[in-house]
Amino acid sequence: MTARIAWRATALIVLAAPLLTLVLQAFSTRWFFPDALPAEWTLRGWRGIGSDDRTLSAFGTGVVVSGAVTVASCAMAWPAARVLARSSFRWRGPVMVVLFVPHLVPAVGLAIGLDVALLRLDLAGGRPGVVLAHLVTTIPYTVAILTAVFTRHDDRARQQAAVLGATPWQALRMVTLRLVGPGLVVAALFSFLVSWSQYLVTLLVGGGRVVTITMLVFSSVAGGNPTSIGVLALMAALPPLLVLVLAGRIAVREIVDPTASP
Amino acid sequence: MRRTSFPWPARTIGLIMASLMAITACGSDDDTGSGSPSASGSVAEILDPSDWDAVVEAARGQTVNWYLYGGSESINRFVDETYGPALSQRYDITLNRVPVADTVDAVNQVLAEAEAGTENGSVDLIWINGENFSTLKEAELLLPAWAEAIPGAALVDWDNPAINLDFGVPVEGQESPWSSAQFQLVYDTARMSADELPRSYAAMKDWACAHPGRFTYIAPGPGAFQGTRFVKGALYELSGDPALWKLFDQALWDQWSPALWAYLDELAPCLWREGETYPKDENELHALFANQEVDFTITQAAVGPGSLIAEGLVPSTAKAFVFDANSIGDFNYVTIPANAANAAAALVLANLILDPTLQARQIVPENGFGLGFAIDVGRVSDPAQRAALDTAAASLGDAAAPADELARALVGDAAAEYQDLVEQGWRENVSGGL
Repeated sequence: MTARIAWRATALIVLAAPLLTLVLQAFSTRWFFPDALPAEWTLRGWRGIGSDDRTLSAFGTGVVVSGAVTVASCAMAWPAARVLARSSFRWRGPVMVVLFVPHLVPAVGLAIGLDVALLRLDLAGGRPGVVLAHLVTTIPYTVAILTAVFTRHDDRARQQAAVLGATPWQALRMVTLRLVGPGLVVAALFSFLVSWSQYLVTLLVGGGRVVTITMLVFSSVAGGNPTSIGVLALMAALPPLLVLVLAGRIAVREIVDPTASP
Repeated sequence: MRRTSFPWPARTIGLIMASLMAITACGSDDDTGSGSPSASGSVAEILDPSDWDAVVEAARGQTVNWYLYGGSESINRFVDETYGPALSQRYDITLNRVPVADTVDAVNQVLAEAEAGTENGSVDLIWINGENFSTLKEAELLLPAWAEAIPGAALVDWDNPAINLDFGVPVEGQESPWSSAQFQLVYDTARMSADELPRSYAAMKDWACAHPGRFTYIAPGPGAFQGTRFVKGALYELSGDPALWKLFDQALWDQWSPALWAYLDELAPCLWREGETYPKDENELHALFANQEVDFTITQAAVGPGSLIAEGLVPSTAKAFVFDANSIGDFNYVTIPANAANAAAALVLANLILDPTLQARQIVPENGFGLGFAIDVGRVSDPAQRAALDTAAASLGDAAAPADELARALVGDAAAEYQDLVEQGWRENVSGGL
């Protein structure tokens, strides 16, 4: 029992330590070696860059873009995954390889390639283009996860409901979604996180007009001001953390008690 | 059963996608000014910088998308607070500062647009110098011959080779200076007194070997010109004459480069981590210095570490100094891509940057920028403006190196060809193929 507590405490410290450092950095300045803790505490970071109009609007842009990407990514992956999950479908391997190709090429190559392609289609330079570009990076994950989900999923439960008179909408909501819910949540989570972490794709395809908080974090890290980095990184960590906690709760509840009402 | 086996997806997905596009589309273009009404593929040809009133008129209502390194919060603030209001009040132009982690990202955007044949480019102005400028210039993607034609050019000493050559590449009016920079070292007055400082490369080596592990420099390479500049300075000192290196001469390089590598190889074991690794940029070196791992860092600013102190990046006791000679100085610039959608507004901004009042503002450490003048103070005739510049030059703060020492040590950069030779040679001879 004590061993288990000790193990948990260690895991917590290892996981939380980097985040804790960010918190300390965000509220301090001139924290140099050999000081173990910051000597000068300040809210300057939060009053300055943390509450700057540009930062707040970049935060909003990030949430809108990644939210849209998540919904679109799951919606597009759903039918694809159902087909891929069929045992009669023989091209699953090759299709997966093709989907993951964007993650095999260097990030700069992918970003410039997407930029050129979307510029030619006259879709670059705004949020819709950025959403489309992000989808290229998130869809492999959502398809892979949902394919795994549908491979184990038995569609006869829904058919049963249909036979018993459920409308398609009822069958989807009360049967299918209950069964694949946790998998869908995980797919959405991945999609959000992958989209949220994009820098170069957003910068290039967005043509400088779509500025997300992640872009601010990247340029701030390049500059090395620990206070600003701390503030921006904490702000940028918030939505993924929220999504993670939310997803964890939903997924766990669905697995533990599939009958609980959503 | 088969027919209804996919009840949900098809139509609903179409609906979701359509509404997502609609949702994300609104608000994405409202503050951009992209593809302004009058802009067409031939903006560059229509605009004639010598007909300045027409340029200002064309720029009215445009949004200028200025791509610049966004890593320095104090520079970001300076740009937003200085140029933003001036542009909107005087010219009805909106400034959209696009922060990039590395200027090469902006270059890639211009290259991608060229590849796609985009006429209304999204990049209007870039803060640039060195290899990024030469990449775009060689690809012929820059607005030609404008920098010497804008009104503010009269205040710029375009005959100065430090201005009309950028890392040795002829500028040919394709970029206009923003500020000047000069290679300096920074020490901590709390750790060391001024008379202990090494004042030459030879003395630096002696100091480093007397204090093993307390000195290092930035690894030379693309994007780390400060490191390349440190090495070039050593070449100047070894050869005894900076003027030798103004024109490229392979024989001269072959003659002196062995001595250069010998010097750096002897220095290496005395460096931080015995020269097995080097900081990759200024910020890494600043952090090593601030955390007392090494005793010197490097800066290019007229105010020395003044802006770094204000930002809390280095101790407030930091101060700049220069060797007695061979401190390479140069200028940095703004450039306009040939396909810029808002080229007129970009021209207005490039010209505004040369405004003596704003030039005076930029060198005062409290304002956060801290690099030197781009203009030649002697060419400013207005007495009030001249006074503002002189006052600013006299208020560089305690962290700045003494102006007379800076002036005495100042030398120009070497010919462009040496840049690659130094960077490549350093990788092969000094870092052991890092």
